[in-house]
Amino acid sequence: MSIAFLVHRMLQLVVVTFVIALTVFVVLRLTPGDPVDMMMGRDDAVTQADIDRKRRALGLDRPMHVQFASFVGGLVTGDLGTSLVLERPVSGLLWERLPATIELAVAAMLVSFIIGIPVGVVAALRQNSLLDRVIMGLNFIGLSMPSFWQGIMLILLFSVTLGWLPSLGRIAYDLVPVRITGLYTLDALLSWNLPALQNALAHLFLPALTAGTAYAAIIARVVRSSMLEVLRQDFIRTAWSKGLQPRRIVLGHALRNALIPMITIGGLEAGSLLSGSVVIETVFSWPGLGRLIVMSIQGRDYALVQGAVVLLCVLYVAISLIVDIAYSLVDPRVRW
Amino acid sequence: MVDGTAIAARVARRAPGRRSSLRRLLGYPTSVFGLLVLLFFVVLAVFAPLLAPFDPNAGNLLRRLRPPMWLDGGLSAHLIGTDQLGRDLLSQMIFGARVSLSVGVGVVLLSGLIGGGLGLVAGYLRGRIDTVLSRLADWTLAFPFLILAILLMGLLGPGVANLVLVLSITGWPHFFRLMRGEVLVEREKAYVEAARALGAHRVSIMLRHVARNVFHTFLVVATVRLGLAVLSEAGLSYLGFGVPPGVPAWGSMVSIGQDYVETAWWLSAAPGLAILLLVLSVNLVGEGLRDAFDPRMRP
Repeated sequence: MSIAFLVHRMLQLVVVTFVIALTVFVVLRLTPGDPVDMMMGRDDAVTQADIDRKRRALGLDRPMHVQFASFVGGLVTGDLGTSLVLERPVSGLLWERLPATIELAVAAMLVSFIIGIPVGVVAALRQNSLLDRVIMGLNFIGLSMPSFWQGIMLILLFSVTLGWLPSLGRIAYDLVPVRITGLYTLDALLSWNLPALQNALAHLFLPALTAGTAYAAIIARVVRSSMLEVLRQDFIRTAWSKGLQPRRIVLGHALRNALIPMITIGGLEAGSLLSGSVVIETVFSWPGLGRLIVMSIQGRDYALVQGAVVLLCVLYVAISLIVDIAYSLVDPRVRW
Repeated sequence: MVDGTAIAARVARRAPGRRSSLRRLLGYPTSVFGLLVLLFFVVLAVFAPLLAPFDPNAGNLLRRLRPPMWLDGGLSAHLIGTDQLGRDLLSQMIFGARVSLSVGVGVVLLSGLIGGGLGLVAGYLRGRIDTVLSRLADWTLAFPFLILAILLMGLLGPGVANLVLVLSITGWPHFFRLMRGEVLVEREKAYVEAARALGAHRVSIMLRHVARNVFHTFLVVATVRLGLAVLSEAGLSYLGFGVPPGVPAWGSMVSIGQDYVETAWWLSAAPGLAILLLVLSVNLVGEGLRDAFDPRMRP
């Protein structure tokens, strides 16, 4: 991989961030509904002078280009302003919420790989059998299911009917572990707080399963077709003719090569999970960035929406950069 | 003088057996099932006022939260029960099909027209226009789609037309990329060269020859995007950024039902199942179309 490619992609990241920031800024300013009016309510005691004072305090009385320049300047220095509704620094709020979104995305990816890869391998090895057809049928259902509905149905089964798992939130209030990384499962493990770990995992299970299932279906499809392609190649025939154990051929040779497209799928999945967190976090009242974005858009909280959306978008674009780099590291034939 | 355009059009018309492709499609049982289910939903949507047993917005608080008729407490008049305001769930579901299908079809038509048209132009003309359009598509795709859709819905406000517009703004690059790729291949083929040599105008070549030969790919992408558009509309309606309150939409019905999941599970179960069935049927048809047009793709 050339340095020029890396520099080019990093510059692209900066430009994309700028365009995203500009888009978010413009769209929010064009959106009907004034945030200060919403904050002050319809109380008769509130005078125009109060509203003007508030607008001045929040910097909303400044010209648009000055507000935008201040926002972009804040992005560079990490100062994203103050939430209009919660009246707290935006960067602090994002810092609090980001680990919850990352924890859910990582868990969902794990779920999707744990389900998707073996299922795809089995379907490929038993191509056109009844098992293959059942797997592909379930796969289709997985791809067609709205994730929010699946989440609610899982809540109905595991929380309401069986009472096995909690349906909302990240952890019981009295079990929150000492913050090290912000990822409750990891923090509980690092501080060896087993009740907290158990509780955090129980809260994480349903959201991760919901978010991971659709991707498990995609992964199973890709692994299946990729395996079928690899299994027909000469080096696999050579492995058979050498008399290698079937397990070694499938796992050591075929699967290893068939998993290369997983980097792209994994990258796409991570990006979509961040974007899709808006839905899953709403279903399970998961206190992450997605939920924060929905609440801040509804409350016309300019500073918070801008900060949260730009952060999510930058993560999204950065993941695609990491995927490109990872691809060329794993497959030496790919040169940038 | 020989009309080059007419000759090329005749050659293009004969290109890979379209009729036999359709016959192949009807030969797949799963695709036929998908087509029938899709047709069922289309009939529901079109004839909703005739088929719905009640006005979907007429509530009767004395009959609120009644379960489906086969469960204890169910009423024969309300086949799958009533909601928290005593409105007939079946009638709401039937009218909900209108929103899902009209948004889905509207998005496919609009984003297909924009993305497909621009893809055709960019792929055929190449050069600066291709660079500009490709970059624009890349920018749009770099934005997490759902976040962009929520932001734009916040700006435009709820409504079916706005949903179509927003989902088309976020969806056109998918059509664009695919059509551009297909057209780049087609423009190098002999029939295009022949048409060009015979003096056909480039607009005529694009529309009468190239567009015709990439139409099957367009159709396959359109079905895939239709399913995704229905899911996206449902997702936005679930989050409260879809249709205005009072308009029955499956996504917002699931959202309301979630508040009653412990006592009235049917409120969220039924509309979600309808979304699943509709998207599944569209995907089955799409899969069948893909296999029918290119049997080598059959897994």
